[in-house]
Amino acid sequence: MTAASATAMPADDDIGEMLRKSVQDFCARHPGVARTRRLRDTEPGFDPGVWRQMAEAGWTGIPLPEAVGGLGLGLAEICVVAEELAADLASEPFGPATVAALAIAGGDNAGLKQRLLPAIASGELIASLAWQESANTLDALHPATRLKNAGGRLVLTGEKHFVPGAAGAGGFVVTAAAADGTVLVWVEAGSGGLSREATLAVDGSMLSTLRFDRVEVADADILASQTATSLLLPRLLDEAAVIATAELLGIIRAAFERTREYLGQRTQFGRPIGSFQVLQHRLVDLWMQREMVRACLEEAIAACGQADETQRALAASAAKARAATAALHNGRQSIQLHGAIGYADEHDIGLYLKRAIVKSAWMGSAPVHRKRFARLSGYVPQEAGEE
Amino acid sequence: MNALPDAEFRAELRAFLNEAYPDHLRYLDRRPTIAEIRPWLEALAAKGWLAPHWPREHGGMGLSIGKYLIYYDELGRHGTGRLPDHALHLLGPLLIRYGTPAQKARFLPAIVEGREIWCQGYSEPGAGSDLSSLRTEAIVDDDHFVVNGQKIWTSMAPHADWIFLLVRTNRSVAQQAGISFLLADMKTPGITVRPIMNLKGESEFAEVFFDNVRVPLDNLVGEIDKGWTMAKSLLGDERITLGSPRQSAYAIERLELLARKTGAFADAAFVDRLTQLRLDLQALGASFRRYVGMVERGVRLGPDVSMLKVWATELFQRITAEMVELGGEMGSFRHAVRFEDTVIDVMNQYLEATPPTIYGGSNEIQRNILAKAVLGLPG
Ligand SMILES: Cc1cc2nc3c(=O)[nH]c(=O)nc-3n(C[C@H](O)[C@H](O)[C@H](O)COP(=O)(O)OP(=O)(O)OC[C@H]3O[C@@H](n4cnc5c(N)ncnc54)[C@H](O)[C@@H]3O)c2cc1C
Repeated sequence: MTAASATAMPADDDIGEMLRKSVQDFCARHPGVARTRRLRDTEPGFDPGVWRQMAEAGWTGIPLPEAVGGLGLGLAEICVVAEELAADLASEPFGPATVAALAIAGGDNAGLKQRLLPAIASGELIASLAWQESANTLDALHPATRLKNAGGRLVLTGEKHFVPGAAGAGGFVVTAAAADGTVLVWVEAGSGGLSREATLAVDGSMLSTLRFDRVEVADADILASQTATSLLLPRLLDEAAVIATAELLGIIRAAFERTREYLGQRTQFGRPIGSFQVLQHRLVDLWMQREMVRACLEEAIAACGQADETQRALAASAAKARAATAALHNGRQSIQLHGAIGYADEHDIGLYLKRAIVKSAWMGSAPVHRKRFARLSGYVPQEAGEE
Repeated sequence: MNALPDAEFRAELRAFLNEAYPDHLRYLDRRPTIAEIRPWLEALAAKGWLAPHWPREHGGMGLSIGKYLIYYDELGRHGTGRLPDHALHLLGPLLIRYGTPAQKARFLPAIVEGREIWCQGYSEPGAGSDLSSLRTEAIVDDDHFVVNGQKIWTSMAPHADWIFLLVRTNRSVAQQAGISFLLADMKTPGITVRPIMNLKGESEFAEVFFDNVRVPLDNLVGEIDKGWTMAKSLLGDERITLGSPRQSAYAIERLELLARKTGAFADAAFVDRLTQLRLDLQALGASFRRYVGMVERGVRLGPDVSMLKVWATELFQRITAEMVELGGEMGSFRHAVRFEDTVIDVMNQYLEATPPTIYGGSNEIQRNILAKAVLGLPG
């Protein structure tokens, strides 16, 4: 197994805590909220200089083998960094880029890995995963995008939606149906026949549609064969949902903490509003949800290290569903508890709600994961095309 | 026993349950009477298995928290009825920590041997959540206390041999400072018990009246006027058991069974609600295991652990409310709902789920504590 799929590695608390501390220190020096404000509604939407420094710290290659410049760590450590960066509202595409790195590292094309992974670890190359063809799905194994043999050359045709961080990406990991099944293809940004259209998301980031119009693909650019892909993709999507959960936990934490502080400061009727019992109980309920997101995240990380695929999927969906619902609720309530200032763009609390909305949808919304959880629990029949 | 692998420990418990627990009392849709449960109480005591968490020197099993939870898990799986357990959970640990050698020698063996049943006399008509406003009074007269007043909601009082109670021994100091902890024989002249019927129709709790009841000074536990902090300090690691997912896990299985019997799986709206309940249970389990892991690593639990109690008890209520609604007319049956091959105790589960949000510190009080002690919100 490569380091990328070797997430079975138990979370080493010391390494995790050291990592957490160093991300927090980094964020104190480079406050993400300021970048999110400055760079929203623009492309690429993040600061490449900050990304380079993150690479120097090793965060762009957490799951990659040390031989290519990675840290050789697992999902637990990825989640620590994802959570902390999200708590800081950093605008760099850490989550999506790491998911793409996991996809590349999990493929069975040694030559391509040798070409891409060192550049990913060093921060020169950002990749993004292009798998989704419709909203509200978790099925990556049955793409309509085709890889066809046209007169001895492989050409890729199809459309992918909701690709995050595409403007800053040097290339895409694309799911495509080939003659013998679904494969992963590497397509560099700027390839002939590839066009991109960006849609603005509420947090100021862009989600792109990629159109592949007979894009030529060399044999050497097949990242993962049909066999490798069928093993890799279900796991990858679960791990991505877990990474999204970690990001949501970070966002919840940060918005919650700001709200908690505000309840202690804001005075009405001659007392801090945090002394009103109805607000106290509401905050306790938000806090309980946060703690349950944390517990579900820990179990999902552990389940991703186990062999049982159903348990892994159940734990990942339970975590993402809870985190998505909790983050949206926490975001809305944070604004309610701030009063009108919460609805003012000048106040940062609204930025957390907006990021929570985007990350709640990324890698499956709560209803999508609930439905999957129901199917895996045997409550409703399996749909065609599902793992 | 702590050294046994978990699976072997479970196997031993199961074997013993199969052999010693009366079959007709499994998954009873009511609380067994004392007479019914006594053989089981005695069998456990004879085996030395009545007090899983007490130290071995006092006749307990000395189980680690992990094994302790397995113990209760297996009892739950087997569907055993609740034992009179106030002395096991509250009084015993308190005596072990604060009792005099004479008190330990007199009371502990009778508890682990299942010979004496205790009840807990804390609440009063005027002192519920605000327990420290209690007014039952004990005045020293020579070598006795003379107790006057009234307790209420005292579980098991009609069957108890002894009562441990909080009384006011000093009215000239602040509320919490003048409270003492006494042990009284229920046969003492002047004690009257009046059972109160609960919503399940059982006389499980009672009023206990004290009319010039003479209690020997030797039955004071700890120092006089210092009973409050002592009683409160007991809320230790065991609080975690109030947040066990077991009851909800059982109830949701019953709900699923009811859904199969009534064809509710064809209703997408129901399936979505059921899934949410399952997810809520999963989150409870994950949180519960997280806290158990902390205890196993030797972390002293803080006030935050009571989130388990709040979530567990409210989830239990949501599941059982869904059962009643799903059952429709059958959901209103006072007794179990019967299908050809299955019996589902809908109303029993529903009513069982009703008081846990009230006792053990009501959920509102828990939220007050969490807001201040964990979130640091202003008073
Ligand atoms: C089945 C059962 C068994 C019991 N067994 C025993 C026993 O064996 N021994 C014993 O001593 N006691 C026992 N009790 C009593 C239990 O401890 C009390 O019911 C509990 O302390 C609450 O007190 P109360 O019932 O007087 O409610 P109250 O304190 O009057 O509360 C009424 C309502 O007001 C809310 N409330 C009160 N204060 C506040 C506040 N500050 N902020 C917000 N909300 C508040 C409560 O949450 C509740 O919803 C038992 C209770 C039950 C239901």
